[in-house]
Amino acid sequence: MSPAKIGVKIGRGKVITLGHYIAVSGLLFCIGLLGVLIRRSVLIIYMCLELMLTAAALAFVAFSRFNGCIDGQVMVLFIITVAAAEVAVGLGIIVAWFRLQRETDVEGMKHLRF
Amino acid sequence: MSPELWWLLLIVPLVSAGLCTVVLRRWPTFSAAVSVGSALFCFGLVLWGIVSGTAAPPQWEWLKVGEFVISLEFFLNELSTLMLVVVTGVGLLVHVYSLGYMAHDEARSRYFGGLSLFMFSMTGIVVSDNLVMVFIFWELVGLSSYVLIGHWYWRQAASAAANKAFLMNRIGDLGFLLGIIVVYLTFGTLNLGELRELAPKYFMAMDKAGAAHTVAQPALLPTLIALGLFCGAVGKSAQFPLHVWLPDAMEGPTPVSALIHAATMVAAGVYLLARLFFLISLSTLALEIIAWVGGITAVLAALMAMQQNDIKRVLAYSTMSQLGLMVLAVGLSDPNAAMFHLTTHAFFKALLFLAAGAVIHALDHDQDIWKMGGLAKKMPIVFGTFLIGTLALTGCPGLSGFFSKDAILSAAQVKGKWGLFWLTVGTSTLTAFYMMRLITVAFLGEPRSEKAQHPHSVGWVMVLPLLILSVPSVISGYGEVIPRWLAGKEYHHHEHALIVYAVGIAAFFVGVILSALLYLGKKQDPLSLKLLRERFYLDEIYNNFFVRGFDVLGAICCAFDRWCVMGIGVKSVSLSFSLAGHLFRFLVNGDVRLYTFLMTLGVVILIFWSR
Repeated sequence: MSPAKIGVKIGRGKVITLGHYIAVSGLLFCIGLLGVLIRRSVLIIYMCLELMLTAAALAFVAFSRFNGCIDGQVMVLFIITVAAAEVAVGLGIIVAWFRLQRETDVEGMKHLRF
Repeated sequence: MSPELWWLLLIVPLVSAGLCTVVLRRWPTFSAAVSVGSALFCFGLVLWGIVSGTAAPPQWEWLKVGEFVISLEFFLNELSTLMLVVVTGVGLLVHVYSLGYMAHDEARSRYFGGLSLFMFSMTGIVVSDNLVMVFIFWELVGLSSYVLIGHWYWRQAASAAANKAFLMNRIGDLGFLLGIIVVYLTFGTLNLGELRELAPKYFMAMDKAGAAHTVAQPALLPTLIALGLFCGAVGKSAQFPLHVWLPDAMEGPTPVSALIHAATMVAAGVYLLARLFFLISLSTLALEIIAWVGGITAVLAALMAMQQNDIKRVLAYSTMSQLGLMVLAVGLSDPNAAMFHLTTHAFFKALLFLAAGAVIHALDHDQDIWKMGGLAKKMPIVFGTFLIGTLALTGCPGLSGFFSKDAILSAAQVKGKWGLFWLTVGTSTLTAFYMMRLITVAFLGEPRSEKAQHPHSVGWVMVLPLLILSVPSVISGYGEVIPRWLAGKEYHHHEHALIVYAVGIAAFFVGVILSALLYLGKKQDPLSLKLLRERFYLDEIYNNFFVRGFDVLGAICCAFDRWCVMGIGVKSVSLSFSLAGHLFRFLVNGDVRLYTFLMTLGVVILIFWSR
């Protein structure tokens, strides 16, 4: 396997491997998930969702880089595009909700059930 | 005449039935005209076809499953042409008569539609040359009989009688169907022409090979076939165990009783036995059974007729009794005598029913003979024709019934079956007795009710068929025209023995004189035989055993369905889903974070599970 596939050298004996990237990505994902689960503000939950998307994108890029295959990077472009569109719609709803209720607490959204 | 024109005999009444019931439903006058026109056309076509000696048209393939072909064929021989003349001729007269009898009925379209449907199916039975087609038309006459008995369906008795007729016929038809299946399994064909060739050879081969093949049971198979086919005739011709529907069928309009329940449909059973005689005659045991069933029916029905007070019911029991005689004649291996009696009976019994209908019409639908009396003076033409019918039925020397009854007596005498011979004689005596009772009570003496003193006049459309029918009732026995026609080239004249004539005439006079002595000038019935009046309690026995039995069976099935199938099967499934729904609804509380958590949990479980 070529050195490029093993890792990126940043100094003597110090190499950033695929494992490091995946660890960061997993950490990001878990932080995002935790945020979604425990925060009450819809805005924060939304940001945490974006964080989870970013984590996935990072994993894609890392895999793409280490497999020498461009598919993952293409996928990331898609993710960014879709995320942007999603933010546009989601933020619009949140702003409208805030105007209506003067708050952004998910607890207050419970009565949207029916 | 081109042979293809024969098909019109089936097509025209069918089209007429469709027109009457669907298109012309609101214009009863037009549908009556269409129906009578189709009957007239059929009668004309039959006469024209016979006179010009037109051959049958080629067969028409109706259904084909692999090698098995059901074709609609047009079977013409002496037997079926005779039956065609009877069916279309009596049918035409009854159609004309109905114009008067049903003139004030709102639902004439339905009535005439039913009559046309009946004409279609009855000619179908007569001409089809395939057991499946016979069976289909057989069911169709049952259907039209059901429709016409229940014509006044708002009367409880009429709709019950229609159901009873239909159900009793079902029992017989089941046997008929089984017989047809056995025929197919044995011979591999249901075509009557082929069967006629195959049947005698088949069983002869079986007989010869009998020693080699011990499994072959040549005696059992033909008996099964014959008795199965006979079952159909028992139902349709109201023979002993299944006879109870015929008297109740008198709830229908009187012309229907004349056409369907006296002259043609009930005689279809006898016609079928005559058509299939080559199959039935292969088993002497079956012939014996058939003869005795016919004889027992004849005597029982004649006994029951003695104590009936409803003019139509007396005639109904009399029909049943005469049908018994015809079946007896078939059982004596003389189907020609049976057909001879069938033909004369069709004429004089239709005449009797139509005359009785005229009386009923004149008395505002009162049918109790003890409320009549003295009608001979008020309605001389009706009385005259009724008398001719009675004399023909009772076997008065010189009228048609005398000759045809003698043919049956002679058949019994030639075969040396003295038990059956005396049964026939007894039936004849009883017939003379109850018919003379009917005449004496209803037409002679003094009027016994207000209505009987001032009967309505009866229109010429109703009188004309009576007059026309009296002619064949008198002459159709002479010169042995009908037996000669039926037997064709094989006909050979033989003098009946002296005892046949002597006993036949004696039976007539004994019955008439006894009845006249008993009933002349009486205001109520001097005889009171409860057993006979209650029809041997057969209806009650059937009700208590079979109807109750089926009620209990039905209740058991209902309970099983309700508690086992519905309770355990269906309800438990629905209940478990409903319970699960009640449990899981607590999860759907609107908290998005809970949903997310559960989703995550699910994904995590899936991931760990799939490793």
